[in-house]
Amino acid sequence: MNGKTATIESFKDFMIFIRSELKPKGRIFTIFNVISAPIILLGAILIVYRLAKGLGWPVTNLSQDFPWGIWIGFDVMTGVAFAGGAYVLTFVVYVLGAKKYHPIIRATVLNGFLAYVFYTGAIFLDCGRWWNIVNPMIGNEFGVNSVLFLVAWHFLLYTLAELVEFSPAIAEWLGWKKIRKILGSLTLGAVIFGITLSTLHQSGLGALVMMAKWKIHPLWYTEFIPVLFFISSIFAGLSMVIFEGTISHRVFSQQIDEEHHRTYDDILVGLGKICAVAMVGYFFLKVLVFIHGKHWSLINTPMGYWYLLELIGLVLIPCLIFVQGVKDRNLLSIRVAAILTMAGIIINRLNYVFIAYKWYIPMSERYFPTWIEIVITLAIVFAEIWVFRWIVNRMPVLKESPEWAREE
Amino acid sequence: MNRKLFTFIVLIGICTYCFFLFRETGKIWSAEYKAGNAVARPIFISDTDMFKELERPPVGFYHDKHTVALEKEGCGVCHLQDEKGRFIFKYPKLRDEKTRQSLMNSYHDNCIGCHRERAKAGKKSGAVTCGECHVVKKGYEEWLRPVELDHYLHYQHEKALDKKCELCHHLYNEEEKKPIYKKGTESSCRDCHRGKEGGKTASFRKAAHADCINCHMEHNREGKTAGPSNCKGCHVEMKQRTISEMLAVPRPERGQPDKVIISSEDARMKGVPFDHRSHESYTRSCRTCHHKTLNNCKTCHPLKGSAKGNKVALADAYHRASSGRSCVGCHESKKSEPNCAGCHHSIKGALTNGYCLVCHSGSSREDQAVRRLETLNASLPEMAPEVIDIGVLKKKYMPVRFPHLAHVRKLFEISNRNRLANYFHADKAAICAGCHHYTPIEHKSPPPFCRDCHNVSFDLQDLKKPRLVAAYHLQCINCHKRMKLKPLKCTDCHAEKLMDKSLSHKNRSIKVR
Amino acid sequence: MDRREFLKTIGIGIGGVACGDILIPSIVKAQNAFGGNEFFGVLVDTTRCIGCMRCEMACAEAHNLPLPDISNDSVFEKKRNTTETRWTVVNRYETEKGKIFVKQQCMHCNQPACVAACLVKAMKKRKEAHVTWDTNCIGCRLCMVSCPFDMPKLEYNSPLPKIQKCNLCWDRFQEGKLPACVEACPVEALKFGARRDLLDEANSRIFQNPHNYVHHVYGGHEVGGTSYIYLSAVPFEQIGFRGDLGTTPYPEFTTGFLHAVPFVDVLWPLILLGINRAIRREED
Ligand code: SF4
Ligand code: SF4
Repeated sequence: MNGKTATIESFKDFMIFIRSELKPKGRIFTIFNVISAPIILLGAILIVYRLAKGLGWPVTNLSQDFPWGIWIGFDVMTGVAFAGGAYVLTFVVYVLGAKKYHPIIRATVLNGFLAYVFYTGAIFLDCGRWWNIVNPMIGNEFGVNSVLFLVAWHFLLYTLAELVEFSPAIAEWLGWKKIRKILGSLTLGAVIFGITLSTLHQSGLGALVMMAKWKIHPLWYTEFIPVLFFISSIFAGLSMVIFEGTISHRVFSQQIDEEHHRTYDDILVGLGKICAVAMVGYFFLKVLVFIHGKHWSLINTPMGYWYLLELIGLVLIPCLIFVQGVKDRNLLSIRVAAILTMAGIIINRLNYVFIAYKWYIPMSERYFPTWIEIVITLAIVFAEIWVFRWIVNRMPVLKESPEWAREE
Repeated sequence: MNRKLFTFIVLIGICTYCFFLFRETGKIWSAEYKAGNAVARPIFISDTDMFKELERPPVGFYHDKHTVALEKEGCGVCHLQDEKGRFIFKYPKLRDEKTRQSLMNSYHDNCIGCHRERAKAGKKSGAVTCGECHVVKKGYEEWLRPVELDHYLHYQHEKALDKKCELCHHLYNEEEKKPIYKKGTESSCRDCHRGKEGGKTASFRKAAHADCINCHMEHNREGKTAGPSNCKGCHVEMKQRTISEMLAVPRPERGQPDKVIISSEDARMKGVPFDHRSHESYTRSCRTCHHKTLNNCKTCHPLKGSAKGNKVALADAYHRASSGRSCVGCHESKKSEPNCAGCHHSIKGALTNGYCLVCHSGSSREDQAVRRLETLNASLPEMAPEVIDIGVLKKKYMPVRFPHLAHVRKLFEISNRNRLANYFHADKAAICAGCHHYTPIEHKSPPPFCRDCHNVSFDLQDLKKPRLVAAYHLQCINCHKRMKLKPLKCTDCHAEKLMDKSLSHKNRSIKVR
Repeated sequence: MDRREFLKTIGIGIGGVACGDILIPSIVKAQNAFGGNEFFGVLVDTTRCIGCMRCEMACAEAHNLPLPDISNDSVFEKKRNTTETRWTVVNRYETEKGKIFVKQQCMHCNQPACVAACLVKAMKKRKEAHVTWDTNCIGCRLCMVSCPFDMPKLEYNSPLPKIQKCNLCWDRFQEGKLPACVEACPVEALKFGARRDLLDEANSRIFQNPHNYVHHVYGGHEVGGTSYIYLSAVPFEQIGFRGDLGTTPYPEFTTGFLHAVPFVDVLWPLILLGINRAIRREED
């Protein structure tokens, strides 16, 4: 397994190599495969259907009142928040130099990178006029005053930055020693660039809805939405790392060496610590905003309960569980907390997009995703997992880098 | 921390919120929360004179609820009685108004004390904690209407009290320190009982509550017909009296003149003959024109104005269009009645110079018979056409056949029926100007065409003047609307062009791009 | 076409003024009086509107949309919103002053949220006031989310959808014609003109008939001012307008964030690099 030292000399070699790598490894009929393959297939068909049919019913339930649904709310807004783990970890590892987290950095970056690639895919589907999607990039008018313009460019650049961060693994896989060296030296630059871009587009996603001032329930609307989005992306991303790490450690356990297995608990506890701190900050900011907003009377309404569920049930409580888990070094608590946190983030992002958005519209006219929207979303998630698995099985993501690369 | 305990607490927390959440799930997405309109409505106790800035929201006090609940016990539970057994309607019984704190204590001791006692005695009781009374109550507008004793109500009282004016009206004798009655000096209670609470003379509020309610209750006890003694009984929206109700009401007698010539020695304008008697029947009460005192206007509003009359000069007192009390103001307001509003809504300005002499004639009205518009034919300009076809703008419709003479006839009739109009419309030009505005109406020459001023096309520079189509439509529709005539459909005036099928909307199929 | 030339064309066109085909004269005055930067606008006097829906009809005819059925009143039973095929709608409101009809359409904000939202400048604010849409749109629908009046509408049921909304008859304007609805209105409830003149006119109507109007011109300052301005006899909340939009132009809600961008973009890398260097030095 370790050390694919054979250098690739020519293009022909390269093709042969790629072809061999493209073949599936491992068992084909696992439960996961059996469930996900048909969904991906169906999703692909539905995507074609959507492109041919347009966005309206029966494809989506979007309406003039609810222009954004789960493709934006879940895939983009939530997906990007979950991908936030990459910039936090690279910050911790490369900027602060905390070597402890090094073993999980590649998986996280890879995960972040794939998330961006696939979720921009979701934007592509969600755009009514998708064939124009390159317009903001090629300058068929730069709408520089638009938050979305900024977010789009930061998305693109950040995806590139992540690719650069991850590229050493690709080079190691292909056995390109020289290139590996160059790419490795780019990492710090890419990381710094990436963190900057992340700060802006994570908060930028929040700034998108700033102009929907009266359409968003006053408990959620504040001028601090961008800040809240940014801070929440920290613990959202880390919770995702905990969650994803837990699963991949189980699935790919044979790839992971002893050493890593031993430090892993430590890493989880550390991540839990960061989460807890970020969540305390987030919680207090939320409370501050709430008190400043003087919305006491709104708490005793149905939307108020929903708000409390999100704020107390899915921020404060997981935060406490994190604290407790960190104190007792209880991995189960940390994992439970991570899952609760993720649920909280999903609800939070969906609130801004269609739940607390136009809350005054009666239930019967509200947006609810159609099965097609859900299937396509699932297909995107599964497809991402497939690609992730394919890469992890081949490149040194969880496993050790080859001997030659470790030297420096 | 004990791990199990911790998990337990967390679980409880989650459950509680889930409970709150799901209890309301049906309503999660329901629209804004609206305060229901409860039937009983509170009086707000705020005593801002004393309390100035409030620390807590004012108390919404349900007086009528208390009256019903304490029916057996009587008003004495909350209000003091004097030696004659009459209630003094102030609350708390023994108010200590020395300081903010002491007044607050009197309220709290009385309300809460009573509530506690009753609760102890096992009776139905009320709130005892702060938040139960001091709550923000939204959605209640001021619902206690000021009570107005109009001619009709006044007469009801007169009848019931056998014209014993002294039962209510009085002066105050400083030496003997008691009320006395002198015929011919009656005025509004507010004349003396004004000012704030706690002055030397009882405030109007106090005086009225003491006299009215006590008297009503007395009558009630004696089994006579009596007026109401709860809030809702008197503080209601005044209703319009019907003509038959008013017919039965005789003139209130206080030595007022029948007819006068209003004049002032050094005034330049001639005096105005004024029919006081007939105006009495047009008004609700004396206070419609007079202030609290029933003096004549000059007393407080001399020619140059005086401090007593708030510096309002005599001419203004009669002519101020914005005042409901002045002659002009009241007459002005008549213009908004449906019969008048049709023309008058578009005629700007309360007083036009030609009209001064209509009132300022100097002679008594008697020798100046009401000037009616003469019969139609004699008064119309020679050229007034019977029917006019308006077709300048016909496009989708046939030309409009406008029955010109029928309109004129109708307006003459309306004007002749109205006494006020009789004075002001004596000249037929006044009627014609309802439509033919800004143009002279003469016997000989016809007025200019509408299109002479109103451009056919839209004029960006003249935003005031509507173009021709709009001028016609605005003129006709607005007048019909204000006169509450039947709603207008396009085809009420325009016949649809049947020839041109393609232009009739119904025959157009929806074309989709 | 540049302004001068445009005016000349119009000048020539004036010769052919005919009923029903009205050209906009004297834009010269409106434009030049204020240094050529005056927005046009439409004053809607809801006290005049009679609910005949000629404007809806004219709009549909002018923009090739499916024609509405205006033969009876049943459409008024339910409040309607504009749609992708109906850029303007007239609604009826029952108020204490009787039935009031209100025409609704894009307000053509002075500082439009939709324009600020658009990442490809497909939504454009023309210097004459019109807010128009262009085909380089990517269909992201941020304009729909942002518009305080909910006006942009997407053709959801088309595979090649467009954003549709009132464009104040931009095409007709360039030909020197009035907006179709203004031209069609039989009672001149709609007035087209320089926005500033319209505001003066609106205020003077209020001044002259203080009892007929609430003393407020809607759109005068709402969301930083709009080109469509409204007069009403009853408080605007009663006839379907939001009274709580405030006077801040909507784009300003995002400027705080946008201004932070260059700072973050420049300072963040420096700070991060600094931290990194500092820590590394310690380690050495
Ligand atoms: S009303 Fe909406 S669509 Fe129209 S200009 Fe304003 S923000 Fe744009
Ligand atoms: S949907 Fe089109 S017009 Fe609207 S903001 Fe997006 S790109 Fe601009």
